[in-house]
Amino acid sequence: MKKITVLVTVVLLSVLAISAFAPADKQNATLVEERQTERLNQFLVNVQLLENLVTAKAPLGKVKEQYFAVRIAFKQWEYLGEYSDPAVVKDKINGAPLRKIERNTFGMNIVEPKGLQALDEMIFTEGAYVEAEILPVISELQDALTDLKSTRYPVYDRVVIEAARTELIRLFTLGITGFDVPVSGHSIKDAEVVMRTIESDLKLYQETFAKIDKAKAEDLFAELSSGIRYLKEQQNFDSLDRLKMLTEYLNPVFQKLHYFHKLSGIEMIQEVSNFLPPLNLNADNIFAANLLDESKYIGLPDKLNTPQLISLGKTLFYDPILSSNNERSCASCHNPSKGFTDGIPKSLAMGFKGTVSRNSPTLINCVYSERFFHDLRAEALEDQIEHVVLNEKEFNTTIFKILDKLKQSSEYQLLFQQCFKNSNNENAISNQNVSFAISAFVSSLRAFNSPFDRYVRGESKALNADVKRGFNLFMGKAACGTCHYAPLFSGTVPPRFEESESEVLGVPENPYVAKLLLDADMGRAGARLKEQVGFFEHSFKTPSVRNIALTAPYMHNGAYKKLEDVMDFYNHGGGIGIGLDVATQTLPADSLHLTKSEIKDIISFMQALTDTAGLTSKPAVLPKFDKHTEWNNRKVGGLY
Amino acid sequence: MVTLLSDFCVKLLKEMKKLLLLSTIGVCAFAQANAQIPFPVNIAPDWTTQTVLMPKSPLMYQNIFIGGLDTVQSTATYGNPAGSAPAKQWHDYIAFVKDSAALGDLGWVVVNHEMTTKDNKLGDGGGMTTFRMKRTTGDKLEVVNQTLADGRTGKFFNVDFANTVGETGMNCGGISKAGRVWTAEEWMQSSNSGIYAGGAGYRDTTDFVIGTTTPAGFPGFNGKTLKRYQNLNWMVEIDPKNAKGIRKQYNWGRAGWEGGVIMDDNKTVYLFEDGSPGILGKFVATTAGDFTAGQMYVYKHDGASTKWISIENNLDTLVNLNTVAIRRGATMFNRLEWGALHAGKIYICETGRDNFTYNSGNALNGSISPSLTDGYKIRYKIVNGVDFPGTTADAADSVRKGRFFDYYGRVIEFDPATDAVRSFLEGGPYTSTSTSKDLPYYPSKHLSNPDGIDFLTIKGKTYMMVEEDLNGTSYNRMPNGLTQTVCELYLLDMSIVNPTINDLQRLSACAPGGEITGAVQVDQKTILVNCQHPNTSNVAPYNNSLTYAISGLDGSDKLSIFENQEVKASTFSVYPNPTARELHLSKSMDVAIYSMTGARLKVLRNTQTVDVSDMAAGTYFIRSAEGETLKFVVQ
Repeated sequence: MKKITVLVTVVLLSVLAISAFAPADKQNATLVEERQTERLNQFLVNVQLLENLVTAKAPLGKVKEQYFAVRIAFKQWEYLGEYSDPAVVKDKINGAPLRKIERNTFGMNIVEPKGLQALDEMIFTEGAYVEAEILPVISELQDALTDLKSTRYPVYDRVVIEAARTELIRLFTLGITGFDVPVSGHSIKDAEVVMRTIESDLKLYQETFAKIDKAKAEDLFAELSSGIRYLKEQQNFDSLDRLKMLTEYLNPVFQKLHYFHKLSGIEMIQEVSNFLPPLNLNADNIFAANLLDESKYIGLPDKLNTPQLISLGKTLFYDPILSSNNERSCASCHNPSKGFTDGIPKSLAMGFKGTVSRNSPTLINCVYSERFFHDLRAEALEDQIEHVVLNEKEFNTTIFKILDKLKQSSEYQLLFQQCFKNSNNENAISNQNVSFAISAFVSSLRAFNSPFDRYVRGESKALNADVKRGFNLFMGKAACGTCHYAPLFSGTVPPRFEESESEVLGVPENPYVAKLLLDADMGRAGARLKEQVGFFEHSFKTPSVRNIALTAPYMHNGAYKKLEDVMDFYNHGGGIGIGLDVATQTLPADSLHLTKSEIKDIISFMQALTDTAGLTSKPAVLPKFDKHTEWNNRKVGGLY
Repeated sequence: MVTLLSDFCVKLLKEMKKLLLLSTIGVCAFAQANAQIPFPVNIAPDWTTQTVLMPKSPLMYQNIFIGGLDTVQSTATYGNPAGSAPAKQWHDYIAFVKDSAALGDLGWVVVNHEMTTKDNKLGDGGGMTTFRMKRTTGDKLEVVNQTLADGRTGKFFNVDFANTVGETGMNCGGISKAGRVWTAEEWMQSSNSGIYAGGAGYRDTTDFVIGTTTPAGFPGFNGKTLKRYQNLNWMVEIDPKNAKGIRKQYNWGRAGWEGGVIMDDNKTVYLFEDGSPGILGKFVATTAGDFTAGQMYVYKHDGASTKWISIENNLDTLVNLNTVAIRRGATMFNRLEWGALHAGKIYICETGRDNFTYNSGNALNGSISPSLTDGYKIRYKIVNGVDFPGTTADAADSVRKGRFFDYYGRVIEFDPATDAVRSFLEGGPYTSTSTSKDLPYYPSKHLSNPDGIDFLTIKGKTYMMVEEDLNGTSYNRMPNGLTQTVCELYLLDMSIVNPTINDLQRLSACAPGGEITGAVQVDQKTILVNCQHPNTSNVAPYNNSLTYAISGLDGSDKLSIFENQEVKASTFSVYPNPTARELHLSKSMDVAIYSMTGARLKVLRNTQTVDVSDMAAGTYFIRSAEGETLKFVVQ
């Protein structure tokens, strides 16, 4: 009897689901796939029209008009196109208009900017429009789209929902910030087109959603259409209220789509892939602490990542025994009370002999990076540790010497054995296990509970007006958010959060002297064999501005003492803006035209991103050494 | 470190790619309305009596050598005493030198390290590691302790270049012939400041004088001076048993050599350049086995009287071989990688390149390889649904003008008897019959950017082992939405006439971000494979480059794709394949996997294979969109 009931229920459910998913004789996903094919056709047709106009030497006004038509067609294609083949969008269609080094090829080949953003600059920059230069870019875009037509991308119900949710993050971080329209400023219209497209595809699922929760489904579509209406009314880039967009439209839609996805019976990404990306679509809010899965950035196996291991890593972090003179620990330069920085322009070197070459960066949320150090030379947290160990100005030792020392402490031996139960006593203290422990601790330094986060998530109702204004400036007029991407506010690129960016700002050696000089540090171009190119000279990793109130002084060289001074530097247009000769500055060199009070608001916003709760405690004692009893007097965190 | 792979690791290493594909692979068998029927989240678990059995895999996986973790023994270098250091990374070519003095002895293994970095103990630049293996109980392998002639004792030994032939760069491919081993320094360097890399690369940029180091002199060139960067990018012979460089092969020319083949006459050497344009070289030794004297040539497929352009044995010419060759009209390939000899023909991977242009080569005088013209015509047919209407010259012209985006590359065949080149197996996400009207979704068989190649003979049957190194993920080189690369090692039964991608059998896949490379047969039981530069964020040990062994190949018919164990439901059949840890379905369809208690675990759409390599031993259900269910047991 029981079996029959289950059987009947299952069959009934299946029938219900089938009928709900088949309004006509076609599946929703099939309809969406057909629409997407047509969107690609329209995109290509519009690019061809643009080519025709440029070839026919049409007036620039006409070309601009057609470029906007191309953008609209692109934005209709974008949410599924990006989801299905993000690499082709980045490489050929809508990548940043910067020169790049060709990936995974022999030698070092420079790839010139291509795609829509390059066109945006070539068409809209005053005096830049040259037909002969723009035609090859259009032609290459056409070829790329033609090749896409001969590549098939499946659309499933799962894909529609997950692509739409991913697009909401893209729209918030790269769309309405103006990121992908560097000169034309078409971003609000773009965002409206994106939201309309998502709305039209989701409408196919309205009935399904309504069966799950009618009121919630109505709310979802009301929020979508209100968002669209708001964008339509708001044609002014500077005055668009991004906080309102985020809290009233984007986040609610992001959350409800997840709710309906879960309850619809449509499979979710974790059922189709064991290899999940850092972006966790099980999060309910773009500012949720679990939006990104930190384990996807480190090599530490999940099953080893225990509170015990984090605690061992913390002990090692504060233990000067790791350095050659037993006087310095990781905490020497990464002091928890200063947001894990050290408050000085450049950290002290071993033996107080001068300084290391750069400013100590914060470790909070540093795990969310593709690459490490100001010059991006290390691929992983684990590599980063090795660089510090070997550096004669830092720990000035080798991993083998560290292992020799640690093995002389029976207390350390026990701690390692507890964390690595499968190792025999002999090799529990190993190269890999030391780096596992430290990276477990460093990657546990995560904080998303600042006053601003709590407000965005609706956990607190109050947020000062200056903070709200500051956020809107940060994400809009001041363009901070086009490099310090939300919600990390770092150079880790949304919505996939798989890549770390660097920028050439033109930071001076010392901004407080009359005769300004460009800081001589070559950055990325001085670090890696395969990055020895002009456009990486003086290029440095874009850090997070979270906890910036605690991490003065600023920039890779610690040259700026106060946030006001940093903001003033940006407001002038970086190095070029303050009169330096910076050949490959990636920061726009024109003024941001920010007023004093606007700068104050932006700083208030950044100060509202402070959160170190639960991260700053130090171990009370360090493990003892059985024979070298003189080592037992070493100070937690080191002498300096 | 020698450990047996746990099931967990097997999952990661061997079949990673398919785990990603679960939702998306499969040739689209239905024109439309294919599925989207939601599989219930829960089902009643006892509907069927039909049981499919998935036996344990006959193959055993074992990690042999892990970069960054295993310790190599170094010679005294740069004033530092001999000692030990963590091994370099980016394992690429593997040479196996058979050397069995006692029972169980297998021989020497040499691994190239493509990563180029400063190193106070191992020497700057790239590098190589050599070690000796034996077989212990079962098929298990062990790296044995050795003491070399120079007194170094340990398991793994750094091949000393710094004190012998001068540092090397990016040791990638290589040649192994009759116990001798050459390593290829692929990446062409063009300045001392470039190799210096702000002190992170080659720190010694003084001139290099040939013949002043031991034993690296070269007849005819001793005393000649090269700028330091010019002493990179040669083929370099090494002594695998003593872990030392022997000589840079200056007379073969300086180019972006990636691989080569020495013919059975032990005189003729073919060399393959990774470049676009890349060239095909030939060297013929005067005396068999003595490669220090002979004649160098480069290939020109449309040469009037001969297809080989002679290159004079002059260091100034040899230092700039690529430019000289193309100026003289050499055939231009698009990134040649490794090659291997089978039945008198040479098979070479032409890996392809996204940003493909021959502008520099066109300006000089190069001619377009027939392999690319073939590739262009095949793609034309797929995109347009009709044969390319023009002449071969027209097709070559389109390639020359940069109208061919070579995303996928191909395996080419070169016949030394006729000196003819053709595309042997064109890469891509297409079946042999695909046209624009009938394109597949991301197919289950899919070859992109082939790089490593060698042959494997088991029980008299020869297979091509072809290994991917994806240049990117776009245009379906990876399934829907994935930006991480996963590269695969495929087998191709060489008895198949006119093979297509559908004939490839997947043997292994590399951890994400890594290039699978180096596959070399040790004996009837075992091959060695490298996983090069996997993502550093992969779960350890797959966050480091590593060399692993696949053993158990001598089991009966283990390389056949289907085990004859069909289990039928009325609408579909399942064939378990324990070698690949896959369930093969009778047709492309949507299926879901349920646990023993009836909870939905996985949903797979448009698929013809179900990967179970990540599934714990136990009982599961597989259910079709029509609602039919079969039980399957993973042992």
